[in-house]
Amino acid sequence: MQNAIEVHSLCKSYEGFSLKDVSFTLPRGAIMGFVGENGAGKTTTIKAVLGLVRKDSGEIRVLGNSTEDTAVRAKIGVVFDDLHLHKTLRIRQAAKIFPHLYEDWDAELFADYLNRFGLDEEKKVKDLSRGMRMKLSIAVALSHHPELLILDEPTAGLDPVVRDEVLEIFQDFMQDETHAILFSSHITSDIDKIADYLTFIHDGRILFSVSTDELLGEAGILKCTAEEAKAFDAERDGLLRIRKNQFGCEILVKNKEQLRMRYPDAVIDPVTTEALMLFYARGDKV
Amino acid sequence: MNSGKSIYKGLIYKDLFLIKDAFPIAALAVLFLLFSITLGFTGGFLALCIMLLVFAVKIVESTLIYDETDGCDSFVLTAPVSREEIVRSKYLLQILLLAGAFLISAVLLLPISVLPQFSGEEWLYIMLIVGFGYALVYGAVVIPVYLKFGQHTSRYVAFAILVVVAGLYGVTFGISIFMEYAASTVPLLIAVLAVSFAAYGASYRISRKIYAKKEF
Repeated sequence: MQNAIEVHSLCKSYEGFSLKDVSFTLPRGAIMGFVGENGAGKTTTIKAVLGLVRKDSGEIRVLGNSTEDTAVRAKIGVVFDDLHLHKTLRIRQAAKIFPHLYEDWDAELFADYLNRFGLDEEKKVKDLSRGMRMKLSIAVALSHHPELLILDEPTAGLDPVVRDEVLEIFQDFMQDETHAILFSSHITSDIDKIADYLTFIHDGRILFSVSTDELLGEAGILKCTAEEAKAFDAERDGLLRIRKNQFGCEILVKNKEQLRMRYPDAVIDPVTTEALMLFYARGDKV
Repeated sequence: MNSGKSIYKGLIYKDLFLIKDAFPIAALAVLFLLFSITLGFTGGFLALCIMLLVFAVKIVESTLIYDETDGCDSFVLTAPVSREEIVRSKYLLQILLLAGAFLISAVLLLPISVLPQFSGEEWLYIMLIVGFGYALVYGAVVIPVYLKFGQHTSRYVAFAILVVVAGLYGVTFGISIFMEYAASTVPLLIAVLAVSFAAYGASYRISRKIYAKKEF
């Protein structure tokens, strides 16, 4: 089965920022969390995947084709960090436009989502709260039966209850094993809940792109004093990154079980996506 | 994939929904000018026709501003819509609105042909055709300028072009009076229309190239 997204050696330069050799693969049937701090290059990468910015070099395939091919875009649902629809449009008016843009537009499904999200058709986009705009955006993205969802901060601005509901919708979407989701978010707990793969971008470079089972299941955080830290061997013990604080230090380790066998008394906590982000964005190499 | 025809319909609907709120203001202006005409002011006919043509070109300009302000292009480009179709929809909308304004104006000028008190006012027809041509030229310049430079720079450029086009229109008006609407006005009209349509075609090709390179 072809991959949903393949990005190879993507480069894109702006003044003061560049994407450097970005590569990752999202298989069908999987959700990929795409994380990184502000300005790391998430949105630029997503825009390059969607063909909204021109790449300097590299190759991007979406559902086996280039996104220049408009037929491919019919199979993609996109949610940006805000709803990029005209502010003066009423939802009812927007609903009249979409069937002309998408052949597979499902008006009934769209109406169902509006109802489920409590969106009033008579409201103008400018009168919707941020949360409501995101819900409308999600409804639009899902109502033409896409095979791939590309989501740039889709849960930003949503309260925890709605966020949970939205994540459930995304999980429902994944019931079809040919579907896939690329999910960029700062809310790492959302990523932890649903992502099968985690791709971390920092300063325009992909630091890792691996399965979450492998990463979160195997990695751990070793807690020790600065003095104790000296007793470990970085290479042998698989120490990746270190963060020092007033109480001692925290070390990201590649395989917590192996380290535990070697040092049964060591304090090793499970790792979260947020902790990983902090280690890579603010920590140092061991 | 949806047919091109349906996509243009969707894109033009989008633009028309946007400027729907401006229609009552335009209708009020039309009513005011119609009222002035009933008082015997035949120049009101010309003012009305020009206003409709200006309204037609300004609508497309407004949709370009809205597209940029609301970031709507990036949304539309995630749908199965090509960049070329977006550009073409703008030019199509421009032609449709100008044609509509021209037809309404032509109908409003009908009394000139039939009512005796308006005899000798046929020059209004000539000025309507010239106005149509100049409105087309205005659109031909303004659309690529907006696509290339964005609203902040382009609104000044658009104003300057409007002044130039209005000046040219005034000159043409003067020439047509000087020529006393003689037979030579026909070649003038043909020349104005030919140049206008050629400029519009060239403008479309330039806009396509600009938009193909644009980043969102």
